[in-house]
Order: sequence, then structure tokens, then C-alpha cells
Amino acid sequence: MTHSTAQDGSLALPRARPGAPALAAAFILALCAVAGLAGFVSVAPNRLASGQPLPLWVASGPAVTFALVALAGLIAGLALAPRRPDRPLLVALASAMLVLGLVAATGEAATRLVAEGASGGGRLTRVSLGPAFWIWLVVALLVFADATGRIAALKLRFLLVLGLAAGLGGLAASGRLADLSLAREFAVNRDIFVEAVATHLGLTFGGLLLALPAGIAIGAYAAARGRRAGALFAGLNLIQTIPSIALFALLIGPLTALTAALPALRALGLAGIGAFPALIALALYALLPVARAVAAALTAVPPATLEAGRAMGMTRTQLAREVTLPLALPILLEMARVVLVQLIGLTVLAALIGAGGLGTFIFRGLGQTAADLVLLGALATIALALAAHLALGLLIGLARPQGAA
Amino acid sequence: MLLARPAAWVGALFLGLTFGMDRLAPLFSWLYPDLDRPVYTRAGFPELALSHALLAGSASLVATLIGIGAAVLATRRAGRAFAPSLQALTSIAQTFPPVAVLALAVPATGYGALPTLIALILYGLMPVTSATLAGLASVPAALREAADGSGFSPVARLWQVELPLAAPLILAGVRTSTIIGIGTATIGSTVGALTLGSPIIDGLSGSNPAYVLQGTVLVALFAIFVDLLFGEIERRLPRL
Amino acid sequence: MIRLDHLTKRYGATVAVDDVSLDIPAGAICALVGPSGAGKSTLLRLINRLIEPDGGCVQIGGAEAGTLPVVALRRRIGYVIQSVGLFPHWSVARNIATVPRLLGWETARIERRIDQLLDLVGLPPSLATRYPHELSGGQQQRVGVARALAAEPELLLMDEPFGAVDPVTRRTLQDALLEIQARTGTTIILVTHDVDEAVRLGTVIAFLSHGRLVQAASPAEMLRAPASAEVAAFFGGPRLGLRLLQTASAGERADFARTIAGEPVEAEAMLDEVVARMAAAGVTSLPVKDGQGRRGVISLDDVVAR
Repeated sequence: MTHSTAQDGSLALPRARPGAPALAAAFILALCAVAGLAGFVSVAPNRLASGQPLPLWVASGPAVTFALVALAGLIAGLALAPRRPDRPLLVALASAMLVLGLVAATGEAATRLVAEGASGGGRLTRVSLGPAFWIWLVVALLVFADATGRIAALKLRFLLVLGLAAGLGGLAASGRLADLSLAREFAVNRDIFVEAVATHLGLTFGGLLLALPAGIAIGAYAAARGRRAGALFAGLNLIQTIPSIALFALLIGPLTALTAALPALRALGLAGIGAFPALIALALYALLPVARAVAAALTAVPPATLEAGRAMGMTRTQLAREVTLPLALPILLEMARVVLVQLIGLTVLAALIGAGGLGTFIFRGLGQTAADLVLLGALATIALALAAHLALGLLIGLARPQGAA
Repeated sequence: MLLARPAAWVGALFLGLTFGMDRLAPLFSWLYPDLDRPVYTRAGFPELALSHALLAGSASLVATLIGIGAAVLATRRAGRAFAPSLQALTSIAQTFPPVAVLALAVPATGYGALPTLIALILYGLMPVTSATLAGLASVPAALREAADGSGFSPVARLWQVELPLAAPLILAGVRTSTIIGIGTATIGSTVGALTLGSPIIDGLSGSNPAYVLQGTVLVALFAIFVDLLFGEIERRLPRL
Repeated sequence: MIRLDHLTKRYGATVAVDDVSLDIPAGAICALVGPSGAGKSTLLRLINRLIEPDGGCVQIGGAEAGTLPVVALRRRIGYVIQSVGLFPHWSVARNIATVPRLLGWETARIERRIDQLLDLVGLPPSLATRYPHELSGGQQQRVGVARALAAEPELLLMDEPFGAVDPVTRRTLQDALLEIQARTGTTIILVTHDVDEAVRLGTVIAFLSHGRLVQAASPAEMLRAPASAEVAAFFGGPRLGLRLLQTASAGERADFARTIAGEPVEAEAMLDEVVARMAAAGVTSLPVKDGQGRRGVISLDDVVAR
């Protein structure tokens, strides 16, 4: 029983919502002052020494500071200004620019500070991101998400998100961020990182794929049985209740015994530790949402509608293709969204039982007190989860029948 | 009778194992004959359980109070402009994996119980907030009007009409939040918090399957026990 | 047109439809009535083979329904149900076009047909692009009828079609159905709980009880000579005679050879309305006028004459 409620993300909301983005104004105004004082980036002579925080105007100079504050002020002004139809779009564009500006500013500052450090004889100068940057970034992203969610046109929303992602990607690719410690950490670990992302996605989708047959069967059974399937769902819910790390670890014992007893399994490369228990644990977690969604999808079509279809002379295939599927698809996609987001997060723990994935970076970073490694793993995980959330949100928006209220 | 309910049995088993794990040493020696120390010794299991419960419990309490408060504010007239933002915020934030949130809290706060507590509160907030928003939205407009029509003050309407009617959904949110909290607290031992996850993590890194088994069984029983307790509370809510 | 021949359907030990034989002539409106659980809906669903019979057969236009391909058979038979069952993800036009599309009509022909049908059921053309949830209950029911009539079926089956709409709308829909039937000549078999609806719409009423056909007759015959106490009770018991007033119009009983002064009643008005007017005015005869401008008189004696 985890976050299966209210997964209706901002991108999937079909209607534009009225109301001032008051949150934007309040946040921006309050945080401008606070964030101005804390460290925007922090400079350390090497990886081990603790950093010295530099506020925005020291790190980036008055011109950049002024530009960023002006942009923030513009957003706040837009949010407070009289309502106009294109306001969400303007706020979204301005906040996207603020995000890009903030990131570019850290890169710029890093390049300058590293050059200064080098001229001073320190070749290992590290510039990491400070709390003020994170606060600014989070606020700007929240405002962006909020404003984007208020735009009615699904395609425009998607374009905005894609544009921001492309902008960030472009900044990273241009090499302007290369002197940040995070970017350096990435450069050092590039190959392992790519492999970790691939493993991570492999485990996530593998777990989902493994859960599908059983989940569909259970869901179909539950749909046929109606209320009497309650006990079945209670059982699946119990699995979701067990803390994820415990479920991962719990499987090691039995699966080790199993692979020891069955050489055929070992020949397939399955072992009690590593990917095998991770996949099983992920599949077990996915079972409940998959079964629930299948049951919901199968009961989503009103019986009268099905009877009308049959009575009008639709064949079974026509009924399935033209009626059941279109009405069930949004529910199934919503399921895929919840499950994927949940599994991407859970797969992090697979690293603890030797299955690899992005968790490797997080736990290695935690073990070595290397914040940038942790950041690399955590940010990548969040990015994957967000990408899954947004991509499926778009699909749901496209699949949602126009007639559905 | 509460004693006849599964919650009582699971609870008794959990407490029994927590306090009696040391006596099971022969069992673990028999199961894993190669191990020198078959029972976790870095801290006693009662201490681990208490620390785990305190961490998850206090975070859940804070998250519940803030979450309900935020959702109530966002549904009052003055805060209504914030409601869509709050909804969008919670739905986006729920995509953040708990482990990632936990890991991100470490650079900001250092190792130990504090980052775990922060992550637990942040993560626990979302289910409560969205459940409370849903619960308050589920109160029929006709009932709110009837309350206004019979002369309830806004506060009385909230306390006597809206919150009681929203209670089942809010409780479900608190249940979800608490269960996630217990799970996330378990992972908290990777950043130095003392919880029932500590034997699991130490066992995994030190190749001691007995520790892993002790930790997993206890933490699973704990989570199931708390979940069943919430089930008992839900059963006792008046049927509407 | 439709012949039910010793039709039987069993569910375990209960016999839902028990040896029912009935002839329904082309162009008739047959109202199936009876207490709940009498087997009316089951009988209806045996006709378009949503259910297969355990015994007997259905003949439609001389052909035995059981021998026809079921999908083709259903496309020849319109079907309207109480909960309408419109496809929620399709527009009104797409809903109406269901069977023509299944039959592979050309687009232009389908579009013409949609316009015709919207007109026939009395809906504005602007509704074509709307979705079912945007319509009122009465409008949805009209779309349901239009959808059932789309491919010019020879037979229309209706299962309590107007059961879920308010009395005023129901009355309007009944009028619309009578008008449509007059224009298209479609044979209609209609299940209803509403005695007034059966008397108003039916040219034949078939009374079922416990799966058996108790009586099949015109409304007037059935009211004059109910075959059993159950039938009599169903049609109103001691007040059954009042329903008889719904089976004939003023024009059928009036004397057009003379006239009297006063506000005339329309010749199409049913006798219950005439009696109501008399009771309200405290008189025993009223002037009548018909569509061609003829004038006449109807008296209480004419009303109660057999």
C-alpha cells in the first residue's frame, strides 16, 4: 500500500484550472531574500576538504545576480498581475528561463573559480552546488510545473517540458557545466553510469514484465469474482506493506536455497543474490497495482454498453477493439504510470543485494561520504521517475476518450 | 474482541521476537553453522525497535498534522487559490523515490537520524495531503450548504461535518504515509539511523544472513502489525 | 412477421420462458407486460439471440432466426434498453452510425442517414458532435432510438425504453415513437412495466406471468375481457374500466350529424380526457371538432358505449 492514490499529475490533468498561481508569487518573493544570503556554490580546495560557501553575488557577480533576481521578480509580478489568458504560458516560459539561467550561472561560476584556483596553484579545486542554488532551483521548477499544469493544450504543455529538458541537456552538452564537481564526477564515471542506467531500467521493466502475467490473471479473476476477491487483494496488500528493503533481503535466503537445489536454474545464470531476487521482489511489488488496474479496467465498461454492442451485432473482436479497449486503456496506462514510478524508486534498493542500477552510486556515495556521487545517483533516479511520470501522463492525455467526463 | 484479531497475534509475535531474539541464538547457529555471531549485537532488538518506532511515529505525526493543515487551508476560502498548486505539488512530489529523497537529505544535514526524519516527514506529507484533499472534496456540497444553512460557524462546520465525513479517506492517507514511513526508516539505516533496518544493512554488507533474517522478519512483522492496527481503527470508524 | 413458436428458456430449475407461442404481424407494436420476473426481458433477448432458447424457435419474416448468422441477424434488429447503453467514448453521430458502419455503408450515406435520424427523433443537428454525457436523459434515450433505427431494421426491440426518464419526457418520447412508427412502419416489440404505456403504445398487448403467455389481445379486448384475475388486477382491478377510456378517441365515438355550443374537444383526444373535461365542466355532453373542421357532439353515453 504505497503511493497509489492521487497519481493524477499536473501534466495529465485534462482541463485548465482557474485561479492565480499565488504560490508562485509567494514562494518567489519569500525565497529571493533567503536564498540570496546562503551559499549558491561552495568551493573546496580538494575532494576531502569541506567547502567554503559563496553567495550568488560573490560567485556570479552583480550582473548575473541582477538578471536572475529580475527574472524572479518578473514571475512574481506576472503572478500578481491581473488575470490574462496567456499568463500560465508566460509564467512557464519565464520560470523555464530562470531554471536554465540558474544552472548556467553555476557552470559559469565554476569555470571562473576553477581557473582562479588553478592560477593560485590548487589543481584540485572543486565547486559544488550550494543550498541557495537548490532552493532557487526547486522553487523555479515548482513554479514551472504549476504554471505548465494550468495550460489547457496538452501538446503545448509537453512542448514546454520537452523544451526545458532540451535546454538543460544542451547546457550540459555545451561543456559550460564541465567544471562543476557533479559534472566531473559524471565524467569520471561516465561508462559505469550509462551501464547503471541501463541495468536500472532493465530491472524496472523486467520486474514489471514478470508481474504482468500473474497480475493480469489475478485482476481478471477479481473482476469476475467482484467483491469476493477482497481477500486476494488484502494478501497482495500485505506484500506492499513489507518494507521494500526487507522484501529484497527476505528473498535472498529462499532463492539461494532454490538455486542450490536446482542446478538448472544456476545454469541459467540465476543466483540467490543479484538480479534474480531483485526482479522477483520488484515483480511482487508490482503485482497489486497491476491486478487492481486490470480488475478496474475490465469492469470499467458499463454492462449496458456491452450488451448494446452485442445486440447491435458487433462481433467479439469488434466489441473488444472498439469498445472495451478504448474505455480501459486510460486505466491501464494510469496503472503503468504508478507502477513504473514506484518500481524506478524501488530498484535503487537492488544495489544493496548486488543487482546494480543507480542505487550503486547512491550507496557508494553514502559509504564514501561523496555527496556528488549520491547526487548523481539520486538525481538520475528522480529524472527517470519524472520522465516516466510525464511520458505516461502524455499518453494518458492522448488515450483519454474525448467523451469521458 | 481485539484479542481474537490478527493484529493482536502479529503484535504479540513481533514483541515476542523483539525481546526474545537472543534466546533464539541456538536456532540461528543451527541454521547458519558457519557464523561466529549468529545474533545481531551492535544494539539490542528492543532498542532498534523503539528507535524505529519513534522515528517513524514522530515523522508520521508531524506529517499528519502539517498535511491535514495544508489541505484544510487549501480548501478554505482564503487558501483556495493554492489548492491546484498543492495538488500538482503532491502529485509531482510523489514521483520522487523515497531513497532518493533520503539520500539527498544527507549532504544537507549529515548522517544519522536527522536526514531520515526529514525525508520521512517530507515523504509522509504527500499521501496525507492528497488524501485529505480528496476526503474534503468528497463531502457533498449539499451537506456543506445544509451545515451553513443550519447556522454552523466555519470552524464548527469543519470540525463537526467536513472532517468526520472525510475521516475514512484521511485515515487511509495516514495509514499509507505511516507504512511508507516505516519502510523508509528501514532504509534510513544506510545513512546511519539506528532502526530495524540496521541488522539488514550490516548483514548484507558483512555477509551475515542471520542478521538479514532477523532484521527482515522483525521489520516485516512491525509493518504488518501497524497496518493491521490501522485496519482495526478503520473498522471502528462509524459506517456512513 | 414475427412468429414465436413454443419458445422455452430454463435457468436451472426455473423456467424463465415457458412454451410461448405468439404471432406479431408486420407493422404492429406489441407490448410485453406482466409482473416482475415474468420473463418479459428474457423473451425479448431470445428474439435477437442475446440468449439462445432451450426449446422452440423464433421466425422472422419466414426465416428461422436460429439458422441465421447471429451477428447478421442482430444487425437487422434494432435494440433499445432502459439504461440506453450509448458508447460513452463516441459522439452522438458515431453512436448512431454504429450499425451502418458495421454493415460497411459508404461515409456519405451514413452522414445522410445521421441527419435523417436526428430529424426523425426530434434532435437538432448540432447535437451530432456532442458526447453522451453532455446530453439529458431524454436526449440520450432519443439517440438510443435513433441508433437502433439507423440501418432501417425490420424489427425494433425495446426493453423498458422510457423507464428511467421523468413522466413528462416519457410522454413526449412515447408520442415521438408513435410518430416514428407511423412514418417507418417498423414492427416494434416493447417490454414495459407501465400499464398506461402499454395501452397507449401497443396495438397488441401480451401478458406474461411466470414465463407463460396468459393472454395476447388488443388493448381494448384485453381490458374488456381479461383472461384471468391476475390480468384484471394488473390493469387496475376495480379501476380497469378507466383504462378502457384510453383505448378510444373522441372522434371514434362522436356524432358528427349535429353540434352544440361550447369549447370543443379535439377528435384525437382520448376518452379519459373527454370524461375529465365533462367532470370539470359539470356537463354530460361536449362539442367535438376534427382535423378537417367537422364538428360534432360526444355524450357520456357515447363514451361508455361498447
